[in-house]
Amino acid sequence: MLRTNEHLLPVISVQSYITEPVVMPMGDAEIGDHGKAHAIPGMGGICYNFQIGDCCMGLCGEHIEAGVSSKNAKLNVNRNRGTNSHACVGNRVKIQSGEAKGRWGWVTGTHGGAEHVFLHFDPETLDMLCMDDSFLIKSVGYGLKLLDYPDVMPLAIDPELLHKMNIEEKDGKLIIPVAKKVPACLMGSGIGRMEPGFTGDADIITTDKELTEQYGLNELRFGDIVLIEDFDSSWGRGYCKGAVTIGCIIHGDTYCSGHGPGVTSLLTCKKPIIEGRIDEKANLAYLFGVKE
Amino acid sequence: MLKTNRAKLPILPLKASVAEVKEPNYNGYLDINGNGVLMTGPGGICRNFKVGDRCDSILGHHIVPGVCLKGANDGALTYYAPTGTPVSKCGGEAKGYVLGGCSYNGSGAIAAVFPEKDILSFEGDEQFLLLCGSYGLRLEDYPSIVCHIHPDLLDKLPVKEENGRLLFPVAKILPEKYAGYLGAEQLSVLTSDAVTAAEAELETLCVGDFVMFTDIDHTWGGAFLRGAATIGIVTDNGACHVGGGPTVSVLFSSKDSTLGGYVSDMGNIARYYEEGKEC
Repeated sequence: MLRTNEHLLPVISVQSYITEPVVMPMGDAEIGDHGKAHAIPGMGGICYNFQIGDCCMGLCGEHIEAGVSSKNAKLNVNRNRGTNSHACVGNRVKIQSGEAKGRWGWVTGTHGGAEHVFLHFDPETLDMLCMDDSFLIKSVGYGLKLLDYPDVMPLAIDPELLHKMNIEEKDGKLIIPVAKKVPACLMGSGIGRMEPGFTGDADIITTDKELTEQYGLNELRFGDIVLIEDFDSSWGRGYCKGAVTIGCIIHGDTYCSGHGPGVTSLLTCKKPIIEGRIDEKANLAYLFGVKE
Repeated sequence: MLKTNRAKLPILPLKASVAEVKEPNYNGYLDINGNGVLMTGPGGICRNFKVGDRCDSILGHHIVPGVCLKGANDGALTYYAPTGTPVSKCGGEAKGYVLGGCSYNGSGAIAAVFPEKDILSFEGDEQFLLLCGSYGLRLEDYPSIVCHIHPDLLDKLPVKEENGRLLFPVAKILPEKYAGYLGAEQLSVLTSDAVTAAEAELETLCVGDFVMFTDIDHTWGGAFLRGAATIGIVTDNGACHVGGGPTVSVLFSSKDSTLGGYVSDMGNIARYYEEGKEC
């Protein structure tokens, strides 16, 4: 078991509320990478029929967010920033109001730019939610360290999820099960944004159909654990030769150039310490026990 | 001379004022190792950084050579006043040109270059007039190339037409891994990874340089696309954070191989203007 400083991490409450689905920039249409308009739904709200474990590619939607899309206090940017910085993938979340009050779910990712936090609940619970419901996240993970691997930087990851990921320690390296590997050249929106890797996300570009096919990215699922080659997510995101980022897929594909399925960063290292082992069960749905 | 549709483009005067100097980050700007670096933020008028200077010759976060301008309507200038657009001081003699869009807490601002004597005389409360007339510019014989440049500057560039391709003079040709800020309005030359930056000798990169990215499509936003090409101009000194670097304001892009570049000593905009004025 990886030794961490988790016994020193405070567990802190952060609040969130369901987001409203957004209107696309051109009214109700999105202009894609070939200059063509697409009339499709956008991000936000509760998505009932696409959850972690489901394919996130080819959906008739723009940056579709699986499960519940949430953020804190519509009028207070700083409060929402606190929620986005503290919420880590794998944190437990409790419904505080309405018919489903008292039920529990998981945090599945954070979405930079939109500044949304995604929550997973079972289908029965989703049906009981209304748009005014509120959620309390027991945030923990911010500040996490791996005591024996000081060069590896944990980011938006709950320590409990870290221990569930079946990470193997071998010859000073960490071998991590991942669903897919992604080359750095396919990383787009999120690069160079002035935010540390423990918040927000970066998108995988899917407009190059040949390379997307070559890396099997048409099969990407919400919640997939992926490895990004030559990509640093420590104090920002960008190309860095030899660096590796481990992340999870948080939103769906898009027609918008430079964007695509989003990746919330979970671990990153500039040195060649992290390696990936392909495992199709490397997905939050399996790690949370939602899928057998 | 390349055939264009410039005769159909509306010429619109737009007013702009100096974008105020942004307060620097309280704890400095984070570098790639998470260290805070204390340095000047973007905006204002910079007196000691000129087009043609090396990007690493000045310390700051997205410092432009000359004047950082913003319009009354957020973002309009970056569309309507691309590189080469004439700019003059309202009620004065100073005349210059637009260097391109710059990074100013996201976007919406442009950099304008003036002769040194004018830069030294500006106090920050001046109004400027831009003669915009290039949005929608097309190359009649190269429809796959998207343009974002003033036609006066386009006419000056020593282009080469070879085997159906159009080649522009550039200072550097860079593979796609050097393109940062993808998915945004502008690009950057990614300098934050020192090893990778050294491979392309980015220490010699100068503000005003024309650079070409291979396999980058910026026709409808920036993205990797094998076979595409994008040419832009370096408009500021850069930034130290991960994925950061000198801003590149896009001039041309094509999804196919029609657009190309050739490395030339004419690959900097300073070669086409003298102290802010046209040669």
